[in-house]
Amino acid sequence: MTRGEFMAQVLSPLGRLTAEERENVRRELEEHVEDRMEVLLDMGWDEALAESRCLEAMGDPAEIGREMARQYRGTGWLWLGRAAVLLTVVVCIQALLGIGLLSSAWDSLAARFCPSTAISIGELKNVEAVEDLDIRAEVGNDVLRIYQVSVGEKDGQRAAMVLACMYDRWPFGIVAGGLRIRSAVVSRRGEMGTSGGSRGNYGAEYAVHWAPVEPGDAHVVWVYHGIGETIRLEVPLPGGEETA
Amino acid sequence: MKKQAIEHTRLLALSLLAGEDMYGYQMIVELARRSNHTFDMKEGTLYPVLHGLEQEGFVEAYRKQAPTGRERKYYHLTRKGQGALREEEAAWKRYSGAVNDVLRGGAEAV
Amino acid sequence: MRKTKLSSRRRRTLRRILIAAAAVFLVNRIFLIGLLFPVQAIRHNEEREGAGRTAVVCRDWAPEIYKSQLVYLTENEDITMLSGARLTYLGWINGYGVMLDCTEEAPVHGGWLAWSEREQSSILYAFGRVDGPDIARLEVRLQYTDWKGEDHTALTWNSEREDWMEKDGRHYFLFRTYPPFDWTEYHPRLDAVAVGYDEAGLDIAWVELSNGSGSISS
Repeated sequence: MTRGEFMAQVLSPLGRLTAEERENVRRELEEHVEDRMEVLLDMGWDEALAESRCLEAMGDPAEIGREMARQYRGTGWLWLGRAAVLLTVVVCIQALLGIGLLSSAWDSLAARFCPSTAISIGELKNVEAVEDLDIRAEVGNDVLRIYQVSVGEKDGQRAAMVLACMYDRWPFGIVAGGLRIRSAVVSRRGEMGTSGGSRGNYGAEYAVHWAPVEPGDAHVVWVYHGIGETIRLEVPLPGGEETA
Repeated sequence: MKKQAIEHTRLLALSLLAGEDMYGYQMIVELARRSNHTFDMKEGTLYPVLHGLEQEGFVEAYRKQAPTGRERKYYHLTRKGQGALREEEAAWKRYSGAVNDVLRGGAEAV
Repeated sequence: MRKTKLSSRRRRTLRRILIAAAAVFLVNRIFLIGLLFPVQAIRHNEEREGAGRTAVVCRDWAPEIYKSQLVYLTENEDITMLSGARLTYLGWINGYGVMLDCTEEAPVHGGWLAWSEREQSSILYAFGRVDGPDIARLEVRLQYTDWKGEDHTALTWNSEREDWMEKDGRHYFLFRTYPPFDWTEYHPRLDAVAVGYDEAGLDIAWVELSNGSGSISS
């Protein structure tokens, strides 16, 4: 029996092993024979004789193969591993197909660090002051953030324009929709304002609201109607010292 | 008898690896040296035992350059393997102790 | 000296499972897709409605809408929600839903939801929560006004206390039907009302159900 025949006999019952596992078995046995042969060759043995002596010492190749196959009987792990690889591939393909959804992930981050001011639809004339704010309140598992207020003139009336955004407490989480319709801004005297522009996606919601103001008003109030709770946030107006 | 031989090989393999990480051929040589050539096992049968221990998590394998300069597959006894060794050792001691007791009894009877 | 670790089947599988779990987690969290379970899509509906966490009262399979369409009735103290989830190539995704704000006290909170396909209604759900302790029987009526301005009742559905489902001590009803008329023909202004009757058969509650509708693109 040659070394090749020996290995073939060992490997023949190992059909249920992966190609890599079979190769590992073959390589390990080859290495063993190689080590043993080296000793005999150093002692001056003839190569063919040394090989057959070594293979004989290895034992019955059919039995080694059978015993080896027995160690790899459980294929549960193998299939579980294959399923995990398949799942990974599927999820990666889904991520590629859904690459456009990253825009809401981006908005979710932007709203908490640098909210966009590209929503101030409506005309504010004779702008007196613009001020960046950072007023935050938790609503359910979301955060409502008021980040800018301006005072100027709208439709011939002095008005404050308030910009707000909302995002989930967790980065990339889903925010509750409808910030604009769930909100209103009222003046210090309780006059209702009007709503301006809005935009939103799963990552962040933006809304603009207006409220009439008179000289001497130091704040307006942003009211948000959540489910089972109403949040009122006082928005200080730029440069306004409250007068009675 | 064959089954028992495998059980013994398991115990021997675990205890050989308790000292240091070894590759298959090295284990055979070391076994022969330590047992003064009493265990004249078929060398190839060591490998199914080692692979079984690996599947069970008793040993871990890695490839490293051996002192001969060639790369070999080394086996390392894991913590779990150390536990298994202790158990099998105890079981073996109980068994061999019982055999000894029986033999001693037989000798006294004679 | 350089070591190359060789992994056993088990270890390799565990590593692969770990990688798969991380990939699923990231895609679930950042892309909001790749959901493995339909109830995760319902969680997305909750988040979007700002409803807080809800518990499932019951779910219904509606293969008439999509092969994998599931409709969930979920609730918490403040809201009752009927919403859908279906399996697509992006995993389970959330669909249309109607949420009822139950924070204001009322004997009955109700809503209805119809899916239509090419102007044909394929399936209709009416659902809600019965809070009135004296209500023993509930009648849900689907009515429409025709072009002459006359009111018609398209269908009625009666249920009694034992037909309702209980969750966290509250009572819920869910009613599913195929609307018995052709939407293209009537183009009716549909509305649904629920009428509650007490033990003696007196109507003691009357509520208009909020509406939501979805269309199936195929």
